[in-house]
This record gives sequence, C-alpha cells and structure tokens, in this order.
Amino acid sequence: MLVVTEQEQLPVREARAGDAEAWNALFKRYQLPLYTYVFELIHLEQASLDIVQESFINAARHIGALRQDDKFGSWLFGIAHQKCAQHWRRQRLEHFPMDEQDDFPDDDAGPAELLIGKEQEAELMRMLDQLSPPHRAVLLLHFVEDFSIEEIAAITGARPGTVKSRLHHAKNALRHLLTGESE
Amino acid sequence: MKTPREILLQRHQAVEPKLDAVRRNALAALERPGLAQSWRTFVFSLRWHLAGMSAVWMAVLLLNFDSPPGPTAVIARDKIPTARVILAALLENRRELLELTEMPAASEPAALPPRRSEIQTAIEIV
Repeated sequence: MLVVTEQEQLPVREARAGDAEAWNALFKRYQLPLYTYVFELIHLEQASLDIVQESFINAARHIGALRQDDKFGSWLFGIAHQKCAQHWRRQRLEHFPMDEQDDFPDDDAGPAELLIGKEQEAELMRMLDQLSPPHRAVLLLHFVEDFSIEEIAAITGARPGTVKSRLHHAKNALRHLLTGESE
Repeated sequence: MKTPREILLQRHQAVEPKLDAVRRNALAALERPGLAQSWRTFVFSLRWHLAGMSAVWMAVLLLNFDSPPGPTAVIARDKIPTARVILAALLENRRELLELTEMPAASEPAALPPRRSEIQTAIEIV
C-alpha cells in the first residue's frame, strides 16, 4: 500500500552535493505522484511523461534555488505545475476563474479521512474531471501529497485564501458525492 | 475502502515501467554535461594559467604607466629632424641624382668652354 510517511528523510542534502544515488532515490520517490498529478491535469500520457522528465532535470540543475530541504516535494511539484501551465498556454486551454471568495472556513479533514468505496471510485474520477484545472490542481495536490495550504499556494502561484476557497468547494463536492446528497 | 491518494496512484501504476525509463533518462542527462558545463570545466582547469597570464599583463601595464619615458625615448624624440632639414636633404639628394645622370641642374648651369679665339688671345698675351 502506498503511504506518505510524515517527516520523510529524503536525501536532499546528498543530492545537492551531486550524489547520483540520492537523485535516483528522490526521482523514484516522486515519479508516480508527480506523473499522477500532471496526467490528471492535462490527460495526455506522452506529454505527462515529458513533463515529469523535464521537471526532474530542471530540479537537478537548479537545486541551488531550493531554500529549505524539507520543501523539496512542493518545489518539485511547483516546477511541474509551471510546465503544465506552459502546456495549457500552448494548447490555449488556460482557464482560471477569478470569481471566488476567500472567506471560507478552514477545512480540517485530511485526505486520508475521506474513504471511498470501490463503487465510488469511478464517481471520484468523474468528479475530478468535471472540475476546472485550478480546482483540480488544488484537490490533486491535497490528495496526492497532502501539501499544506501554503505549499499548494506556492506550487500553483495562487493566494492562500484562493487555495482555501478552491479546496473547500472541491471537498464539499466530494462529500456530496460520497454521501449521495445533492449540492 | 481506499483513500483518494491510493485510488489515484493505483490508477496510474501501469505506467511505472515508463516512469522508470524517464528516471533513467533524467539521470543520464545529469551525468552528461551540457555545453555550458563543459566550457566551465575547461576554463576551470586553466584557472592557474589564466591567473598567471593576467598577473603578467597587469605587471606590464603597471610598469608601462608608472615609469617615466626612458633615455632612449628622449634621444629618439631629439633626433626627429625638422621640416627645413628634411627639405634640404631632399634637395641635396635631387642634386646628386642629377649629377649622376649627367643632366645639368637648373639651379647651377654648367660653365660653357671658352672660345678658341679667346684661348689663342690669351696665349698671345702671355
């Protein structure tokens, strides 16, 4: 079972020193979550693989720009997110609705607390696909890596209030889906 | 029951072999230095030579700026002829050339030989 352990000891310091084994371990740790995030945003397998590879190479070449080692994951996802945005711009698919309010309450429910039955899996994926890319990005980052509001804001370039609002909407929709209530 | 994370990751686990290839490609790209990296490595390997050459050039420039003009330069400056001397030398050269080619110089017409009658008169007087 795939579980995100808290306080992972990632070999970021060794990677900074150019240790190839450390880079291999980091890439192996993030390859599937990063691909999942990118694919669920752009829905193209080859383009997603390309973005993952470019993100890895960029991360290794610009590791000096990373200020805190424990933020490596969100920093790497931020690189991939920028590449997704470039892809959207190339495909003229960019759509960032700006009509959201930022005054939503904190939502304490973590991603692991939402348990989904087998019969609801397809519903989850359909719901994800129906969300706009910004909402989908926020929910995916929350689900896949359990990033904090601040980290998601840093990755997507949005304000923390906007991230909170998007997450609130998306999780409400998911709860309605799970409980069978209509919104 | 599964968490959304488990559902999402398991949905893409079939791509793992391709992701392994992506990882290997990325690692290979890191081990293969780019042009900029090669240039940096080359210049870095020559750092002591470049530093030495720079020091030599700096010393040459400093010495050139600091020291007053030496005696050679003064002498050379004193020996530069004036325009009048150059003109005189040119005229002298021209005159010598004309003499060599046996042409009468315009400024110095050759003296005509005395007439025979004048020579005889002179003999008679003597």
